[in-house]
Amino acid sequence: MTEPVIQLEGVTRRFGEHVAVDTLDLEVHQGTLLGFLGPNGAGKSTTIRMIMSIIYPDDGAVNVLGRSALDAKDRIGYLPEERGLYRRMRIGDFLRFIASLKGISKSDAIARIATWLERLELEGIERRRCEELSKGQQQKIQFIASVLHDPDVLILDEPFAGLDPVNRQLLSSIIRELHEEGRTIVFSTHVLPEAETLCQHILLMDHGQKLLDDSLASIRKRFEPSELLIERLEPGPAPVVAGTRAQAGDAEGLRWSLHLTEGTDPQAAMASALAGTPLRSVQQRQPTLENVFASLVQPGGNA
Amino acid sequence: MNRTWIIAGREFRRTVLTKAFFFGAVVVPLLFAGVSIAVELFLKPTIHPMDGTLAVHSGSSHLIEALTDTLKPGKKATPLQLPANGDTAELVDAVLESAATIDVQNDRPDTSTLRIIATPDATAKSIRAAIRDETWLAAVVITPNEDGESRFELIVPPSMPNSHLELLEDSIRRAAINARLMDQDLVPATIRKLVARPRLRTVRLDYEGGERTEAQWTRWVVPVVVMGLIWLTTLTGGNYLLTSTIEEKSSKVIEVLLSACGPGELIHGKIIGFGLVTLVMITMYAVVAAIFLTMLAAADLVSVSDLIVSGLCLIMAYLMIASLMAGVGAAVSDLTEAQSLLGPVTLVIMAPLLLIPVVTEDPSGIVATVATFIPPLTPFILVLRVSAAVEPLSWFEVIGELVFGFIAAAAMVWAAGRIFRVGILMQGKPPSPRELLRWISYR
Repeated sequence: MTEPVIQLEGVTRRFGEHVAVDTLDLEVHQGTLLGFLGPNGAGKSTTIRMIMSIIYPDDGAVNVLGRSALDAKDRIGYLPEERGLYRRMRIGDFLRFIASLKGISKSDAIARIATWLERLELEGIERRRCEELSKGQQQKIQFIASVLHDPDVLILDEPFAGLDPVNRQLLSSIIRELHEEGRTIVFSTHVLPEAETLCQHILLMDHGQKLLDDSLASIRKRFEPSELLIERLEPGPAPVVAGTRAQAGDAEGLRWSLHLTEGTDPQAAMASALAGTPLRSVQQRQPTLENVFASLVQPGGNA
Repeated sequence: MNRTWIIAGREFRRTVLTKAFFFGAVVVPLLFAGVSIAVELFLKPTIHPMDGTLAVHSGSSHLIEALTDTLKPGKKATPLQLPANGDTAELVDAVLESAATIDVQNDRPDTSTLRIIATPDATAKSIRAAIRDETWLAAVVITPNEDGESRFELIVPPSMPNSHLELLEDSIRRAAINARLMDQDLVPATIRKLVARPRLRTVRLDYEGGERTEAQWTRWVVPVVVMGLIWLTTLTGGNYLLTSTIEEKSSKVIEVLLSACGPGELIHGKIIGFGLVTLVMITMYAVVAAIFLTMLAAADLVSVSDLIVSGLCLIMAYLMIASLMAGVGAAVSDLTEAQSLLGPVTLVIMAPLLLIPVVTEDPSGIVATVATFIPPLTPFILVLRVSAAVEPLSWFEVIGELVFGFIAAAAMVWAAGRIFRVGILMQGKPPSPRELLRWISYR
């Protein structure tokens, strides 16, 4: 396995009596696309801010690219959750200012800004003032500010918040492209279907603690429900399958859902169903991140 | 380029390259200087001669004589006597004295064609009629009171200009006094000579055997002006920093900036950027001050050593005020909230102004010395003490206080950085001063 690009060891952060992040351990490896999930107040933004060295942990250690994020800022792209622009500043001036802070030469910055504006369908707005843009356009400008310096690591805090479906899709495809180019990407989101589509790896937090830190495939396997979805060719009763503990069907008797007892092999159950009844389809139900989220996150939290 | 300097450059450009700043900090001081010079050179009011008859009703012969004397034309301005030794203070005194008499001469209407007549037989009605039909220029009516004193009434036409009116009023008052003296067989010129305030030349000795003459006004004008300029410009620069920080915080752009630079780089960049803005402002005011000092031939009132100390105090004062403002700006979410924290800060900032009389009176006294060691009063009090001290403060003392001041300024910048780091991302209720102190100790 590659060396971790982001490494947190026993990181704790308190605000007064409130423990925002509690002894968090995390390793994000090169080329990972990590979805950082959790309800509001779970500690996601605090963790991200500690990763970015904007705030510091009370205990534990944070390393990004083998050093503090402060020293590696030129190699990290960060789109914060709390984001804004200088209202009266022109878009081009703002992006050039951010580029200069990231160590990009003026001529290089001009070329990159033009490329990114085109890529995000914002051509010709360089001379406009930030306050003249729509919220979605402003968000895309902020995204450009985070990727302008071609970072190795990209940390995006709620990148899809406030975007319409078209722009959300555009941003998803760009994140996917950046990942395919070999970048390590961490993004927090409430939009679970987006995370499910994009991510390889999921980190789920609640009340400052890590609930889940695994690949999406492993999570699906672990949270795989013992449930078969069956569609008959002709209306009729539910197929008889050994190990069924409960069953439910639609009014026509065409579609059936069989809940298996713990320890029952889903493959054997599906074969058994097919053997006994003519079926249009039989499949094991896939767990969604929403199911996983709902089953793990404590009710009564801040979500 | 270092991120701190990139931020400093942006803050400087976005503040200085605005019409508001250009007019406020560049055009207004230059305009003020230009207008002052132009008024002095070209815009002297035209004074018309006082041509006509001044009627005096019921006046004694002494009064007529005194009035004729006070209104007689041909008073010459005192010629400018340049001091032979080239002493600045004496030169300034001489110029001011001469200028005062030149003003009297230039602003005084020409009275060579003014006639003064006694009109014992006139009545109130005939006097008014004669003035309305412009037979007489004006009339003075003297009415004896029961207690033997006289009541004077000056009757003038509607068109009489102020310069004429002022001269008549002043002359009548002086003539009345002179007439009283003459009634007592006293000679007014002799009495005036006897009661005239003597011209006093103050010579300040030093313990090394030297001496210098000092003009009274320079004792307080130079220290107060220098300190006032530092106070005004650093406060303005600090206010720019405060509003810029609050604006970035409220518009949420701050975290975007923090994604590109550290909080330390951000606060230091802002402090440097607005420091350069302050430098531009004080340069403009200094240019204006230099023009006036040159016009008064008093440029050597400010010594090179005083200038160096003033420059260092300016930097120190700015760092201290900027730290306070950055701390307040980081701790609050908007300008309204800032007011509650600015209350105590304003009290501290006003203290040097309240201490001006005490410090200029005794620059080496206990109050002045102790106040020098209370940041952020240090630079203001120090510059006041150095420029007001009649017996120069020892270099050892000045350097010691400068070192103390810069250590205190560095500590304040450091503390502001700690508050900035914690507060800049916080929203909601502004912290209490106690919480602010706790933020300084946060990791």
